[in-house]
Amino acid sequence: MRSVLAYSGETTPRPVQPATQLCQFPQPLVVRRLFQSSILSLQDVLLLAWHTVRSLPGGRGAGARLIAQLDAVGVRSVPIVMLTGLFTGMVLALQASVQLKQFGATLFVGRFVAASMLRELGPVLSGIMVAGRVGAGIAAELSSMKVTEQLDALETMGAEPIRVLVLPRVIAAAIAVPVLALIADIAGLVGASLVSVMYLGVPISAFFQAAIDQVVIDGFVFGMIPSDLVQGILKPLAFGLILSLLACHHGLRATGGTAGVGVATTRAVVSASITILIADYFLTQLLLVLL
Amino acid sequence: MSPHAFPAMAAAAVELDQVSVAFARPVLHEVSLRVATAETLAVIGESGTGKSTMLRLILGLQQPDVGTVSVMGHSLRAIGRAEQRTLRAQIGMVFQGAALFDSLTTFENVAFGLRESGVMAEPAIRTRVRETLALVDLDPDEVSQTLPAQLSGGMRKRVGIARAIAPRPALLLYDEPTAGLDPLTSNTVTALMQRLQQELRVTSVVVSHDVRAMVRIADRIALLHEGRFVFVGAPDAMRASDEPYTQSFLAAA
Ligand SMILES: Nc1ncnc2c1ncn2[C@@H]1O[C@H](COP(=O)(O)OP(=O)(O)OP(=O)(O)O)[C@@H](O)[C@H]1O
Ligand SMILES: [Mg+2]
Repeated sequence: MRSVLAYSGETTPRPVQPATQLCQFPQPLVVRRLFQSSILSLQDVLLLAWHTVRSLPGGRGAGARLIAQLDAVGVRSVPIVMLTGLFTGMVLALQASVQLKQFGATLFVGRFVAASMLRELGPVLSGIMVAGRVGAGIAAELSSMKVTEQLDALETMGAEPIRVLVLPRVIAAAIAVPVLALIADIAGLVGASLVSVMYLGVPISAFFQAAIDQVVIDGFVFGMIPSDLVQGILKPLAFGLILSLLACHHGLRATGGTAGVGVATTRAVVSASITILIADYFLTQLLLVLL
Repeated sequence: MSPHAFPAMAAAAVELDQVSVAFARPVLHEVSLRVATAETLAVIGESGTGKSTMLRLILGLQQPDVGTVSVMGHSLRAIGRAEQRTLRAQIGMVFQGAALFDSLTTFENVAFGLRESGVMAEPAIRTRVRETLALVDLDPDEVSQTLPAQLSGGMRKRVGIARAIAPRPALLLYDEPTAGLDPLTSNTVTALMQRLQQELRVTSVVVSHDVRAMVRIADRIALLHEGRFVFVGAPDAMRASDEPYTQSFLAAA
């Protein structure tokens, strides 16, 4: 069994559990450990969030750092988010048309796509794409700074890493992801309109009229802000906070030389993507109650 | 163990009092040490004995499990954030792997501490950075705009030293300044350290396993072994020491 374990890089092989034990369910110890470790890291992430808030307004050079991060997180994510939105909108229109054609209701494609993109797919897809692109980048950058003692160097020179590294990234993500989600929405509607014009012969004006109808039907908050748009902005705002905080958390926690960089990066992307999906469900429920 | 040959009248720049640190296993065990103002103390010892840990304690990047660390008369345990900042502003640290900021140019790296402390205006900073680069034998015009990745190991070490001394600290800590350098570059760095001592008159704590270089530049040498200092004293006294580990360490060097 030693050789099987060797790949994991562990210096001392763990005792191998007998197969019968592995098959038992539930696994109290494994479940408890998993539970404990996620509670502990939740605590760490909340603590990181608190320290980040406390480091406001960010001191000398904060503006320049924020602008640099807005560029890295936001501007550079536009192409990938646009492509994602475009093709998601196209495929949504295609799928919807198959269903709606049977009832001769091809005019409803616009309404279907608008509702799904604005409320769900725009926010979630841009959150996950940014988690993959930016979250990985943040985790890799911070963890390599950690393992090469650059974070210690920062601290020694009076620049707390949370203030100069975490704060601008978190704020940039909280601003950029909602904007990116809107860009994804628009790209999705454009893609869907192309498909419905080309395959269903729906006039483009009719498509967008249907999309606007849907937004109107879904109602307004305070009588003026479309509730679809509130969902479409609040959710990605939360996703931006989640992905940037998790990426920073895993980056700052990295240990063990350059191998630690890879581990931190993987963890950041996986945990951010999963947390975004879980948070999406609960946020949706909350917003449905509130709006 | 009481520190040997400590100049009685001099104020202590750094004082470790009965300090213990343990990770998975004990690293430092009830270690006491005083570094006099303007003195150069070398800490030598095998890999993994806790030399870098000792420097981290002095910087306050880490707290000891037991015991107190004082820097320039301030105990690091009872210190606020603002006081910690002012104290750190007087300490320069040369990290083991230089730890230059990858995304900043050589100039920005050396200027970093000066800009962060906010006491100097930009033109004065520019002059200071050029002076400091020249002090470590680097041509300011040549290296200012290069990124750390484009520098050789020896140059990176020198930029690391320049970054540490740019704010003219009262206390300089070096972690393995000559490790991983060829013998010639290593000599250059040692000579540089010696010159800085004379020109800047700073208190220095140098961690190294290059015994020969340390004998050349240190006022006192402390040998760390299994969590304790087995020898603390002048280089000559070290050669004369009959402590068995000290002798075997010297013989191996
Ligand atoms: N953050 C940490 N977590 C766990 N163990 C640590 C940590 N930092 C240091 N150690 C352990 O403490 C011991 C001393 O480490 P330290 O880096 O101080 O050694 P060193 O004397 O500087 O060695 P070298 O000459 O190789 O740089 C090592 O065994 C190391 O594994
Ligand atoms: Mg070390």
